Amino acid sequence: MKQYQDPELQELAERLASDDAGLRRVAVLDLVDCPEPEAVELLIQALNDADPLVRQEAAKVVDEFESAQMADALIAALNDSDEVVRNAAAHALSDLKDPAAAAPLLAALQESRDPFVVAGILRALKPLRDADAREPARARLDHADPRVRREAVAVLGWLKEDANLPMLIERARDDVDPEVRRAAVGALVYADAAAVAEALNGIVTDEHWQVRAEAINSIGKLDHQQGLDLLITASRDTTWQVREKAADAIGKLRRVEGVPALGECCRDPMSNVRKATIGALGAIADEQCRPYIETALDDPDPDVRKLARWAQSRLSAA
Amino acid sequence: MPLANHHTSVPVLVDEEKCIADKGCTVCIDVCPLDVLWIDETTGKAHMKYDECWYCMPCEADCPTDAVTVNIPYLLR
Repeated sequence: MKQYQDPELQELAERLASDDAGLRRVAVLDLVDCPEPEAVELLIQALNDADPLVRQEAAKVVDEFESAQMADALIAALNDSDEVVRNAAAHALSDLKDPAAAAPLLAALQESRDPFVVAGILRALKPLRDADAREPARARLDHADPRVRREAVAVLGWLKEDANLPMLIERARDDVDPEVRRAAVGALVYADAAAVAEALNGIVTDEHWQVRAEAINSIGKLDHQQGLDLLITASRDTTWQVREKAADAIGKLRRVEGVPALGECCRDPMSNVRKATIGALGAIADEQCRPYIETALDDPDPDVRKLARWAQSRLSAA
Repeated sequence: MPLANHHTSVPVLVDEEKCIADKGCTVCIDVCPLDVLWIDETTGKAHMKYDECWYCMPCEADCPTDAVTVNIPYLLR
């Protein structure tokens, strides 16, 4: 056993070497309060403990420590037999955000076969925006497991490279998993509106409402002006979340042609849709919006009334 | 002299099977703002020594083994 200068740390090290798993577990609880930098070594030791309860306890506190020093231990913990430990490790890895962690993560990615582990590593790589992650992520776009495909899409989305757009569009349009399609269509927002316009036009009618909502959101964010007709159609969608996003996006495009459709949304039974609608009317701030905004001043929902006041002030300022 | 022969119950109950205070854990004792939890010398487990609870709940929430249950009186719920 390694000897430590600090008496507190030495005492913890001794307890962590105990034969009694209960004692080791309680030692992990005390480890969190230890300010010495060497405490990380002991935590890594606890992450590799034979007892799953000790590993779980260690996994729960990994985010209290400087995680860059334990990238390797966390990657190893992704293969743990215990789910709590695996999840905590994946979570802590994605908090790393240290460019130096990219190399060990990429190396681990090459070695890993378990979809959960692969997805965890990709999620950790995403915020690092390392160009070396491009090829491994591309190679996993047609992985059998949707969790892996979803994270691969996210990695490419964060890289914001035009060359990846055709692949992301393909995922957004043709993937069998709605969550992958949703992630892919959300990732398209870094592109030039013209480059993804056609794809977005197709995806707004996706069978899954979350994909439709995300596509509509992307149209608004990209200021894709030719998408207005699709947004007007979407403002009559059967799912209110889609109607809400459509109203919001019409406001983002600031098009007077959208006002009649917004007028219909003002009578929507869902107050969230009415709220987004009044927000959009206020953004457009055209004289045609006035009757709808004035009606909304008496809306039963106080948030809608508040926004209607704001929209009214925009009208008088215009 | 009045005799109290009946069993009284306290609001904070500790499951001795789950409690690991005998291994050195003092989480519930440390978080209690009223210092009413104590280690039972005979069993080494935590228990409620003084019946003065604010029902603030960290002992139940923070217990690493879910051994602590706080029974909040009906009128406070």
